[in-house]
Amino acid sequence: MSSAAHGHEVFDLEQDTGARQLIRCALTETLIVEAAAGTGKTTELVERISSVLRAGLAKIDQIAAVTFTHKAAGELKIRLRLKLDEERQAAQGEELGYLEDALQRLEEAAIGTIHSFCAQILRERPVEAGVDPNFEDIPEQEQRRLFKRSFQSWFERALEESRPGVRRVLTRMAWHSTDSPVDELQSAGWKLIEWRDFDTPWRSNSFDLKAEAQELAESVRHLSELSKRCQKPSDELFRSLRPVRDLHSWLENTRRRPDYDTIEARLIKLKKDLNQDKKKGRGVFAEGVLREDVIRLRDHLIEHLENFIQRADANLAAVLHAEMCDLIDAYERLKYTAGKLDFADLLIKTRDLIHDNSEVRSFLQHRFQRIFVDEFQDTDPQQAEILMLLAADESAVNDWRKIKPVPGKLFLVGDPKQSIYRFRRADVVAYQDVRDTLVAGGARIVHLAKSFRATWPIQECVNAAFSAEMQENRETAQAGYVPLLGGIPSIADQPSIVALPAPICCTGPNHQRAEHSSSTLRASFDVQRPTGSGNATAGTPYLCRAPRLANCRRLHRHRYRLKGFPSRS
Amino acid sequence: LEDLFTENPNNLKSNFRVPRYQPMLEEAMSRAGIPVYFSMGSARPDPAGRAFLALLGCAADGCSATGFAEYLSIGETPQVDSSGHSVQLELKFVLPEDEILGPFTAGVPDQGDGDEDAASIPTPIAWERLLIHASVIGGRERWHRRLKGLEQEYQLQLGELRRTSSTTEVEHIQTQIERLQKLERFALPLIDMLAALPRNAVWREWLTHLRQLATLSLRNPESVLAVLAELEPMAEVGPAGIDEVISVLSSRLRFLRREPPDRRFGRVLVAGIEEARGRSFDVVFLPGLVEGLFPRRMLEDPLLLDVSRVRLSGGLPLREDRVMAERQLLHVAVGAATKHLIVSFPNMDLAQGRARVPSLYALEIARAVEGRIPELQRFELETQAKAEARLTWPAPVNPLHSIDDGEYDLSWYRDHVDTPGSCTYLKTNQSLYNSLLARYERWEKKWTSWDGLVKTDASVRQILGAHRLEHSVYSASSLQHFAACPYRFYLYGIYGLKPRETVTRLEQLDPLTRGALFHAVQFRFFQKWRQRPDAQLEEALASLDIVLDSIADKYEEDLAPAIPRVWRAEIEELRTDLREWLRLWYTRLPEWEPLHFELAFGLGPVDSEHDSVSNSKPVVVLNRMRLRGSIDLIEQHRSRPVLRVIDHKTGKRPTRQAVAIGGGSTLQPALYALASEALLGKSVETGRLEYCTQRGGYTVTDIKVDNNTRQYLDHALKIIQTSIESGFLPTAPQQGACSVCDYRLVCGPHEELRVKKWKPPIEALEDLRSLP
Repeated sequence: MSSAAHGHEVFDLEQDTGARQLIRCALTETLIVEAAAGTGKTTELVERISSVLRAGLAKIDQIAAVTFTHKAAGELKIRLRLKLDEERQAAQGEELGYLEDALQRLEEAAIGTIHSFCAQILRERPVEAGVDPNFEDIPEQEQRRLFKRSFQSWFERALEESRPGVRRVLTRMAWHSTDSPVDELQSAGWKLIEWRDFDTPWRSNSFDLKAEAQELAESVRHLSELSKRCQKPSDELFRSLRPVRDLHSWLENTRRRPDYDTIEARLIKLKKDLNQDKKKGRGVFAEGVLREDVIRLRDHLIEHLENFIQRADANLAAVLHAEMCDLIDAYERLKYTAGKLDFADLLIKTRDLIHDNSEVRSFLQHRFQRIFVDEFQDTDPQQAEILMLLAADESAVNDWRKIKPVPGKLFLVGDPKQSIYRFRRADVVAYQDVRDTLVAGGARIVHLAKSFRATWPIQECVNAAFSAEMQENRETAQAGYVPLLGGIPSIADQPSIVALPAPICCTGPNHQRAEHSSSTLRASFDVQRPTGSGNATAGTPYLCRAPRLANCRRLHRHRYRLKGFPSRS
Repeated sequence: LEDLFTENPNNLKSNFRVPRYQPMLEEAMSRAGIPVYFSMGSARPDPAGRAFLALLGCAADGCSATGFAEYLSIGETPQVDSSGHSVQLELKFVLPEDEILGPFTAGVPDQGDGDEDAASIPTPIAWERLLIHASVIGGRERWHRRLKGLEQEYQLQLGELRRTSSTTEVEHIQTQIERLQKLERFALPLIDMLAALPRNAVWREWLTHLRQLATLSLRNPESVLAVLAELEPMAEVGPAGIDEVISVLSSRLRFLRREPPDRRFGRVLVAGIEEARGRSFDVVFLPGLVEGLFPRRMLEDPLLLDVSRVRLSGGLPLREDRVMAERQLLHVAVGAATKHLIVSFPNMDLAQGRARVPSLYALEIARAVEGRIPELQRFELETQAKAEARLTWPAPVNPLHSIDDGEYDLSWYRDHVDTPGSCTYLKTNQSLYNSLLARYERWEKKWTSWDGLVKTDASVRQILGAHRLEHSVYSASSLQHFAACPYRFYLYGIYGLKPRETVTRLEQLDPLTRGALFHAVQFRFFQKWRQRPDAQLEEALASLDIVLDSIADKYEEDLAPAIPRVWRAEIEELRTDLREWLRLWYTRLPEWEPLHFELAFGLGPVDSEHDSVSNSKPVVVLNRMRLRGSIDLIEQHRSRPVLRVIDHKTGKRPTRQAVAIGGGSTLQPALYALASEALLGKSVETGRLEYCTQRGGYTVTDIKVDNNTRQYLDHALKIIQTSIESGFLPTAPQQGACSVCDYRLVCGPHEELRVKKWKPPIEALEDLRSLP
């Protein structure tokens, strides 16, 4: 199948071979390798490291290789050991010397996750980083425990001091929330802790709660009094205005000592209540009161309330954020006292160390001559900043966007399509930003397309399904698609693909949709492939009957455009 | 190891680097009956240390009752004198158990030998329950106030009971008072001491306080005092808060470290690799050859980086020297083995739940054996095959290779799971056995005794006979449980199983408390209103506000809400609901005259919380059942001689509206109507459910009490009666019933699915559920 049909750059096997050759030989060029799963990314990474070592461009202790998991790091180390052993047998002269030296000191290679890499830097430079030289990194469970302790003391303090933001938020939650207000506040605090490196205060719009609430109270009073003139309790419009009368009555009762936090909470609730019942009723509303006027006033009040809530929310968020800053301090203090660092600390403190301390930056830039990164699409901006600063050719520059990487120092391998850690800040846009910065600094992008994992019918199917759907788009954080080429041979007497249509939901509203999607799938088979005498032949895809799943709520999200599969149901 | 052990235990050695694995190794060796010598000593949980930590946790948590209950549960409470006060042991010098003074600590008595006078130790019988009854929750003042308050309450009850009740009840209350006094004498001085702990202080001050606390609160405080003595050098450090103090003490007090025995011969040596230097053993075990553990990640010395070392002198060790030293350790470990070397690595880090890979050293050893470095995947598969135990089945393939009976059985069952009787082993833990069997049986098509009360014999039916509707007294709500699920009715109405009470600060009003508060306010209001029945609405509203404030204050004192602001907001919400309810009530006053409020029957002696015409005896309804309960409001029509019975609801209105008995789930209006007729001798026209909150939309459901309703009710009671008589009360929940059921823990989460999949024989129940 031709990928050109989908408007993509055409890749062929020859180009793929060329790309792989480039990885092994263009050792003084910064390369960004984009490749799908199964195209041999890690193998190429090992090849590149081995080539650099063999050429004597760096010693083993001058290499840093960053992987996503500990297991991947362990495997990479072993694969490198095997590769070096293999290369040594064929090497001669200077190359042999370099390879033997690498093998002798393989334990010195900094191969690990980004967190273990940062921990290594911090352990070697604790004074400059301002951390306990004997710090322990804490697992997430322990981290949560520490946070709970700091939250508890922070919360008690906040209640004692009656902080306005906390007061407001608790009052709101008491009126609206079904969960425990403390739990909700705690969960907000946890999120703030996770994003603590973004310490810029939130913008607070000018918002005068007292004045705005008084203005709204006046509207409520007016509407309430108007509605009280209705003499027919069963009137739908009159009934729909009961929350207004309730609030008015409550405001009257508390007029002597108004509590604006509660007034705010009740105004929010009023909007919700009014939206629940917007009946207009008919006939005469009250003597001298036009129904249309009351409806107009009600709609106006709802609109006014919406506006008020929007500004109150924005104001509260900023106030609460400021009030929760000492929660972060308390958490940091607790860790500091215990001599512990969490995962975020490892990154934040390393980034600060490299960013702020030019001596350390320069030392580390010199120390790590080559940096290899696997699964680069999962690297968040902070991690990318650390790596970019280490790769810079000018030690005086500490803005990662302005650096120019030393040619050949960085070798990044990733697959933007596999970027699934957006919740950890590692989204495609961040990846694209770093990639573009590097390209502007002279890096070259290399694509690997030949797959060593799947048979060609599978690849063709995947290409057909995703080529058209995945067009690179920054605005929608969508990665582009590079079609797969080649493939391994099919297994004899075994189909390559068994296409299972979306499960048919036996109950619920999805039932009809699922049935429809299944039939669409069948109808889309416009290309016939030989099926032998009803049995699937090697590599030939076939379609199975859709499985029936009770209460299946999750249906396939992608629209599979599978074409050319015979059906066997 | 057991096989090798028979050769000569003196020549066995296991190399060991990470102390946290020691307890597991210790347990495994003990199970296998292999004597072992840990060169680094051993550790045992220290109950005294843990009790002390619980007490400090209680102090950190504002003298919380839960923290104190945890301390009590460890059973390290000290001796008490004749007056019930705990005896403060004389403060004596206890040596720290460190390496210098360690040998002098031999005189420290062993823990938990039980040589004390058992009679002098306070037995905290029902103390936790008393803490709940007193709603202690926390705070020094509250401890004093609530315990005294409960004692006064008991004294009042005692005075009342002495006039009216049997001696058994009097004795019960007397016992409660004695227990409470013991608890007060024991706990209050401790609470005072906890409350007096400094917020921030230097360690010298802390150590003084902690020593006093330990001698007052622990039966065997020596181990704690020894740790405190170890911390003496920190006297000038600080100031530190209680959290920091707990954090410092936590790791030191949880375990009691024991020095290794003097002689190691006759035991397997478990030691670090360094200790193998210059020694040889027949067999050496080298575990943990995993990436990141052995070899360790090589770092530069932060005090003097390699660059500076090179500049200063050629002789200072560099990173590469440390690499060589680590390799040297591998050589030492391997070289110490003269006959067998057994190397292992874990493929899973259980603490972190992540996969691990063998280290380069493991592969280097394989290369030494095979002549080449094995391919990783093959190596992992082959080594996995050697280690037969799996996380999912931790036993060897051959039972003869097991280390103890338990592992033998587990190994044997690997191939005999389907053999009849193979589950017998599980019976050693009856609870686990019951739990697994229940889960298994409940997915079978056949309905068995695991599905509630299904197959009962004559003896059970005889017991149930005492719970027939005409013998036992039931409330309307317990009968309503039957339609939701007969087993729930059994657990609630017959078995009387209640959810466990807890003593924590209230964060938010739960529906039950909200309902109770609402009803309490209504009742008090009605009492006041009765004195001024001609009061105008505005006056009544003001009166309602006063009542609400006073009752809310009482509830606030009892429940100790954690966040006053949330509490106040919820009370305000309640106020809105009450005010609207009152307005609506006033609109019908011209037509209906209120007669009785909280009219109780069958709830025991009539008290001030119920209407004066209440009856202590239950009411017989339809000659079929004995009913107890309390009717919120009874009204009489001003022009017709008929009554209306009202029950106030504070929750949401159900989607299915009852016409008569609502499929057995709305029995209350009809039952209360008949009870009112029996009590007051007047005809009841309607039973009304009044949803008097915004959640319920201020709506009403009227049940006409006519012949049809009576017949439906009679039919429903007959069905319930037959079920009790025949002992058939299965777990057959209605859709959605389990989500609001207190007994979900008993049945598990799948009962509704089960009913849907294998329909139980519940025709009668379905008949009941179909009634209007």
